[in-house]
Amino acid sequence: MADATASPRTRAATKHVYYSMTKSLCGTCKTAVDAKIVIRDGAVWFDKFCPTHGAQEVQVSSDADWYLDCLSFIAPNTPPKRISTQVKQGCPFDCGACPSHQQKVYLPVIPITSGCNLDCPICYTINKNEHAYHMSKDELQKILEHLVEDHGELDIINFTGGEPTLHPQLPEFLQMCRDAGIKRLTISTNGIKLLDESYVRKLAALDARIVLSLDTFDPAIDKVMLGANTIPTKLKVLELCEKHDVAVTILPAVAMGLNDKDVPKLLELVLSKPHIRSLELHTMTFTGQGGVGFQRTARITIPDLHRRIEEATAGRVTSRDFVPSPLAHPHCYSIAYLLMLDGGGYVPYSRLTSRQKVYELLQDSLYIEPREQLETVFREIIDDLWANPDRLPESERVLATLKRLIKEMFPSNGRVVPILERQKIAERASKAIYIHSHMDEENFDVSRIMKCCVGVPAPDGSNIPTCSYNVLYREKDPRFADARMLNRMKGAEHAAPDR
Amino acid sequence: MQLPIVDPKFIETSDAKTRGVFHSFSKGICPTCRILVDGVRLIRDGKVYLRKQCPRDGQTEALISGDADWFLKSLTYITNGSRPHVFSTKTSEGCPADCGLCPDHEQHSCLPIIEITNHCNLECPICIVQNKNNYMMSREAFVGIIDGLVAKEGGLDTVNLSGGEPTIHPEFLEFCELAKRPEIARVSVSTNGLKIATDIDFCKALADQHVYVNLQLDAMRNPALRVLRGGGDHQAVKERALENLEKFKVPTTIISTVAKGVNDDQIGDCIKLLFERDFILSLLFQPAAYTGYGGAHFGPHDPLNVITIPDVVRGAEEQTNGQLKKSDFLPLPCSHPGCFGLTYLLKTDEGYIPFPRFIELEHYLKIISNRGTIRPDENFENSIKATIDQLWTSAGQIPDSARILGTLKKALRLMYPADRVLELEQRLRIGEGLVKTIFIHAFMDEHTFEVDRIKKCCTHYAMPDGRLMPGCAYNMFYRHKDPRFAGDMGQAVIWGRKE
Amino acid sequence: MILKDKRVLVTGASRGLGAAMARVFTSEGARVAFTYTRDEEGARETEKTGARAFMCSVLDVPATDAMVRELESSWGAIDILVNNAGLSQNLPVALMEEEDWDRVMDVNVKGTFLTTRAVLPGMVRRKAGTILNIGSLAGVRMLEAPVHYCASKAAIKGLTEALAKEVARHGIRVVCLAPGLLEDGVGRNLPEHRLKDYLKHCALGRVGTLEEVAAFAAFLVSDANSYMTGETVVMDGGV
Repeated sequence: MADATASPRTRAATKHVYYSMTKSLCGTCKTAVDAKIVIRDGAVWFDKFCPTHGAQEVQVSSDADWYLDCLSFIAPNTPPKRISTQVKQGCPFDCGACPSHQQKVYLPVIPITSGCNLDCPICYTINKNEHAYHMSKDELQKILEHLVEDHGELDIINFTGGEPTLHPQLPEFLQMCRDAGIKRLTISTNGIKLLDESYVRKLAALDARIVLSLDTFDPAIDKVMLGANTIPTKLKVLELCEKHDVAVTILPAVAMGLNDKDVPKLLELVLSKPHIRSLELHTMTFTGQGGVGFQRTARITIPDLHRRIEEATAGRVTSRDFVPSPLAHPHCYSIAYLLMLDGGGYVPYSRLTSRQKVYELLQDSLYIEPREQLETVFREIIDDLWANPDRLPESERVLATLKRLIKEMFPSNGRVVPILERQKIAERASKAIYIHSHMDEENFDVSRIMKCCVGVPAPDGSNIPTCSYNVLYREKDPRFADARMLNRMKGAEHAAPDR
Repeated sequence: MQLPIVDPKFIETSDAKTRGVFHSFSKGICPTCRILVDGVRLIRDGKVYLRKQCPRDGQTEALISGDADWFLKSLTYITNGSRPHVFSTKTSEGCPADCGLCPDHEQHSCLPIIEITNHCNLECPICIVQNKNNYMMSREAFVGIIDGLVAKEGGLDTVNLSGGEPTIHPEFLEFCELAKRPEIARVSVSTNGLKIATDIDFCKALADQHVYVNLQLDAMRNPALRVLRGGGDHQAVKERALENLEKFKVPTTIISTVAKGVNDDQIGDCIKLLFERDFILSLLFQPAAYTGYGGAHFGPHDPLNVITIPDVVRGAEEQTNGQLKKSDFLPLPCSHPGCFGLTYLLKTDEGYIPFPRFIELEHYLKIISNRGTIRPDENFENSIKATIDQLWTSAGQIPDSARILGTLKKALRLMYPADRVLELEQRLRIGEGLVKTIFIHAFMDEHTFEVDRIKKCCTHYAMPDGRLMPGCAYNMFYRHKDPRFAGDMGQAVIWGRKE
Repeated sequence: MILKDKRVLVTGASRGLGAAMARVFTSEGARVAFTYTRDEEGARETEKTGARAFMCSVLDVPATDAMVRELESSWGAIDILVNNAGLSQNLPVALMEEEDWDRVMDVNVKGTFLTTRAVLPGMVRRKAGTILNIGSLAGVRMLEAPVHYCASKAAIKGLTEALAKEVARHGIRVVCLAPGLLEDGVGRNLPEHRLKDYLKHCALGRVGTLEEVAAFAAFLVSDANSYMTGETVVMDGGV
């Protein structure tokens, strides 16, 4: 039917859909720039414009479904008690926290030393080995006092660096944290120092948890990413941790086209060893002495890792089994918990109960703690599977596993089981998969940094959200800003091949 | 994925409704000094607030949505835009300093507004523009604008003449004639109706020239009218204007500016007017924007307690005895979802039925997407046919299906008669007789301005130099320095006032 | 010395309330014998208070009969029987199999019946005797406790009342003591929040000690308590 009044030049629809806007940083000069959030070909991009360096774009999610699904999760925030700075230049240049910050600290990440015994090509921090900085006991004490005062009870603390095991007082620091009442003590390490079994024993006695960076099983890839074949060392360290019952998290930084193929084997490793509690996948991020110059083809987003997990588990764990953390911005963490079944196999928590319930279990802490809320949820699961056994093919095995766990944790006869032991029993029965996405200047999103619950605290009580620190503040921090490294970074930025 | 997402589901923590929720970053302006500042959208007590931090003037807060559910659901109510054929400016400084339109803009001009004068015969306390009474547009400039619009847009549904008060322009009727182009479907004028009420020949001329009239009519009674429009017997003027318009069957839209505490209890009266008078095709509610020579000083004004789109929707439900429900209204996906709300109503023998009650949302969206008015083209025909099939086979599951079917069949028969092909314009006229609309259009002011929203603005002021200025950006940043209005204020001739 | 020269048999006294009763009764002048099944170490501890141990399950009829014959032969008679042996399992009903139900009901209820049946003939012959059954608050009131445990303790209450009626004509008293949560009781491995919730409703705000319950048990079985039979006495700190 010909339309006589139609113009010969009708407008075509744009190929993308404009969703919203946020503030990001120019990939070259790091000034604040508007970023349009657009949906194109099923993926989500930031379209940015810098008055000096022009138009630029970056893919922030390979799957628009995941991106929007995360934003359908609603959780309240608890603003920090202490406002250390004023708003002058606007987010993220006034960190401290400034009045725009929306979330208190739930996970302090404390770099206790600037020294490192590796020089990984993917390193996302800056390490200073000459006149290396070592945090003093005094500094840590002040930090702990401020943390407890400003952020209340702390569930968890993380020591990092550089390489934290290079700090001679690490065991004392761990004890200080115990004395301050912090329950979960974690150390992010490359593991090299843990070849010393007496050190492992010491850490075990302090009930510290090791977050071990293990990226691949392929020596060639390890060389590309970490600059050396660290695999045999790390596997030995895992054995020692198993021997002394040290809880371990395996933390690979995943780079597209390099070690994403290792995800199935890494997951298998985590699932097969009772002392390995979780797999924490970090998307490759391009900050730091290694990151700024690393090939950008390595960029990978959270939904890509969901796909790898789906492939690795033949569909037993899918992207719908993951939920965001209610405590951080919904795009920062993607979390799935699995119940390990007696006799082999596992079921994601989200299928035992619902995504809603798993989300609620995470509303007070970054990691599910064995508290009353968890018991209530599992009571409901027991009743539900008992009444509706056809809902899951594994119903019977789930119930048998839960019955065994209850008998072990709450025996009616026999001795009293202390709460820490009970927690261990509960933890050994579950595995967690955490996917965490640090930001660099390209995919920086101030919405995310405003709700950041992780930070780098200082003795004066201030706190800088980790991604801001990685992108903007570490290079100005005299403790870490190594002149040689900064020079190397500048050179790498100019020479970077496929930016 | 399918966009827009209709009826999205949300997962909330157990305390999400009782505690404050940080939603996202939004760039706004400081209401005092008007520089661009960081803002955050916060959900509190079921409403959405924009809290901004100005380095100079400190923290301010403004209500941007009276219903957090409406707000959250509207975010994914998005679809592709379409770009104009020509952009008039380059992107160089960044939004919103490069208007208009610059290539960064996400939507063409659905509704171009040509302000042909800044003279006015009223001094409305709620006026959002700046009537300096010193400018009349020249014929050349006007023709240039029309030519430019056709070149940029291809085909236009509407061109709107506005001001000041456009009817006091000495060449007003000629301008209406000059705006008649095959590419332009309708010419409309936004007027306070004074000339229409007092000059019957003028009213007849409007009818003869097929001009659509947007009549300013905020309330039925004087007390509210006087608060918004100034002294005088406005009620009588409006009644007279309506009489004359009806006499000559001039297609009319009623525009009601809704201000909290002034006329927000008269929403139902305006809707009643729409239903009772055939010549009135649609009703447009404009939540008051507190900017301009009038609005910026209007009282009462509490930025935390203003009318927003969902408040009008609620008013429509509460004040029509349930004839209309909240669920009949939806955002418009082609502009930014925060800017428009609307419902289409089908006229049947026994009253008006909102489209969303009988037409599948998917089809409804096809009909209204990317245009503010229903366009009886192939898409429309297909959607109506699909709806007829669905109603026919739904066997009474949708209330009033028989009635609706009858009307739709009649519509199709009239618009697509068996023996000839109608012009689009003719079909539009027929459609107008069967369909009425209620629009809600929220202009922004210094308190509620968000750069996010302006990027997909489709209501543009057309400049003689060829630029198209997104409405709220023009009102905030450009109007006060428009060179056309430079110079001293002219002499105003205000209705009812002796010189 | 309210139990001077009394000869008492307590079942299940290798730990907990049973062991405390053995200790307290001995200090009140009684001669005590007790049963145990697995806890050798606990049995040795209880023996140190002067009590005599018998490794004998309450479900083992021949062994129980042999023990009663032995005691009647060496003591002359059994004056007081305390049916204390009992156990629980922290299980929700959804995970409770038939074998779990049977175990708790057997030990707690059938065991009480079988032991009572073995000891009663002697008491009837002498027209004297006191039987104390250890029940629980869980058998008297609505608590969040495992269903089989509650059922078994409610059964003990019923058994007490019926038996009291039946043997009163022989001058035998039968009473039941129903404690609330005790330290080192079957509730010793309750989750923290359950304990907190219970204490919230407990007037005295604490679990009971073995000493205070054993002391009252001593009174219940003593001659001073001559006008009470068939009664279930709750001792729970005011829940």
